[in-house]
Amino acid sequence: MGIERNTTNSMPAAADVIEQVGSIKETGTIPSQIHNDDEIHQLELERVFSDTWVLVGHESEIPEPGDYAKRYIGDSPFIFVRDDTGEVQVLFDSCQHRGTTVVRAEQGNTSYFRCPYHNWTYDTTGELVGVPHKEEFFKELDTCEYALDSAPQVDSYRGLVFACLSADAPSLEEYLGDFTWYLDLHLQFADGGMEVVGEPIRWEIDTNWKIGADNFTGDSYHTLATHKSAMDLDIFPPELSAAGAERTPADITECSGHSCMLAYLENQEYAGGYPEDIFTDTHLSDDQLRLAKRLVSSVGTVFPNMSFLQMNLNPDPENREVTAFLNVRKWQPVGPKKTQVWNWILVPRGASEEFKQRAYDTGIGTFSVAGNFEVDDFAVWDGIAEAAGSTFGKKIGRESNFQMGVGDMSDSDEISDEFPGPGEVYGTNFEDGTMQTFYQSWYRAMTGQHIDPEDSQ
Amino acid sequence: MSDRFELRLQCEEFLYREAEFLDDGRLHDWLELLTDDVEYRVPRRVTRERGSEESEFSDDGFHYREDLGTLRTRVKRFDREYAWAENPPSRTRRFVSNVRVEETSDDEVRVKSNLLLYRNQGDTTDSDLLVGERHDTLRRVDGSFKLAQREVQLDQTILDTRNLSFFL
Repeated sequence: MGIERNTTNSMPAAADVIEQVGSIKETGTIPSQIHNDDEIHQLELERVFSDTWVLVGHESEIPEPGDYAKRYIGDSPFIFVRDDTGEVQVLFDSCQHRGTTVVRAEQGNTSYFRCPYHNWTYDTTGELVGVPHKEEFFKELDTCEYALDSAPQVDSYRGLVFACLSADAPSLEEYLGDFTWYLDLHLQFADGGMEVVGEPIRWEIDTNWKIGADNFTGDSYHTLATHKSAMDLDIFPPELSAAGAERTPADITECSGHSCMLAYLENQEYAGGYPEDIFTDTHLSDDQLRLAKRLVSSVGTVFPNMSFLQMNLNPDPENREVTAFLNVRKWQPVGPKKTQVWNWILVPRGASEEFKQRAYDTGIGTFSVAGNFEVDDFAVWDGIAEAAGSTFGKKIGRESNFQMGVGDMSDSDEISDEFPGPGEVYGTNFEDGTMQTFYQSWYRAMTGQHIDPEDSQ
Repeated sequence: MSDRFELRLQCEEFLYREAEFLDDGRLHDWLELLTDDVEYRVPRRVTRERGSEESEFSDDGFHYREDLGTLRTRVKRFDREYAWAENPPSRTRRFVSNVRVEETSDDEVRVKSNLLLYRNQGDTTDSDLLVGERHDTLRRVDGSFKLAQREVQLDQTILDTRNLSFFL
């Protein structure tokens, strides 16, 4: 299908470009322009990041009352804080007086937040508790009406705290929907759940936030090319890899608007990445536990910008052992071609200190700013935004292809009926349905529909 | 010439030679400068309020926490044409300065220095600047220095670089 062009400009209009994404299920393509366009970026901040649930952090980052961290939803600054009563708050970081941000550090512990402009002071629940010279200059001011604003909705899932800037959007439970079946494989397989190690690593890349988010839904195809050097060195043991014969693949698409890929060893009870005795059936069904113990590789994206990755990897195959870790990612948009990457490494809370350290080192050594698996991703993603934002690219209506395995492109089978988990499931890691799901959710958000497919079909 | 002055010159000579190996892509020669038990760390820097009791440098958050084995694996990877992060290779220039000999023992010297690393890559005028302080331990092995420990304390908390596909 062609692009509608507006009459005053030879370039496609944003509305037309967005509309074209809505046909991804039929065409398998999207206009590349969405990966670098000022107008679309602005609309994303207003629609995607203001109307969906966005990851803020993990509860283990702020264990004690007064612990706080500065976080962002789209371009809006928030304070992620455990208040004096032990409750987690997500407060808009903007003083009720003249509006400047009141938090100076990226994290710490405090009993109050004091604005540097005129010293209005708030407690950790956001209540205004101090106005200098109030009895002289602000006699009539009712401080109860001037608490810091809270994010309209805040909720957590298995320790992951999300916030939603719309009070009307469906609850987090509805939003995550059936996809929690897959999140639990990574968050609930061990007693005590998961905890964050260290502070999230942050860095900025010259590409669009959606590139990382779409890649992490399950772009296994790129692994063979982009990560060939890491595979050749057994950093990801080749028998476990996407081309390996031993593993059983599954792509999970259309799961409450979210998607992921899994690969597991069907013929082994235990794949060896986590200590075997850490697994428990307390929180998982038999099917989930069976799968969790066999996983060798999984990635997924909770729309819009939270991704996760769990892999059995080894940054030194000659001297170390294959180790699993959980990587949680946030692709924070900074501009149409600028993304701030937030990278957390999580480990089972109940594991030994020795294992936690080894898992962390495996995580940063493979999937972080210096990760020897992932540095190659960041070497190629910049180019996508460069071409997508170019005049000629827009003029010719450059499209990005997500047709792999779809329709008659391959023999990929839908195995939803035999697979124990929810969603539309394919018995391959070589199909683009996971990415189509992501862009379908993007289209729904950009056209004002809630992401829950129950009310958007 | 005082012994301490001469010692500093020897340390500088080591650090400049090491920088040359890294800037010239002679990573196998660089590995030869490391002791078998080398500890190579780049802790994450955290923006904290003035007066905070906690260190700005994370105790458990790192960009790099490596030993000789993991460093060797990284170098082997860079040898490959499919290591896209370094193909085409980064053009780096390290400026090592303000070399200070902090402590000496019979066979080890603790040295601080400043590092300014310029990186440019590919078909662009963009560049990355990574600036920080190195805290090194140099050990005499068979009459010459080797690097036994390095901690690089970067001046940025959010790195302005697409990746750290090089050593600091």
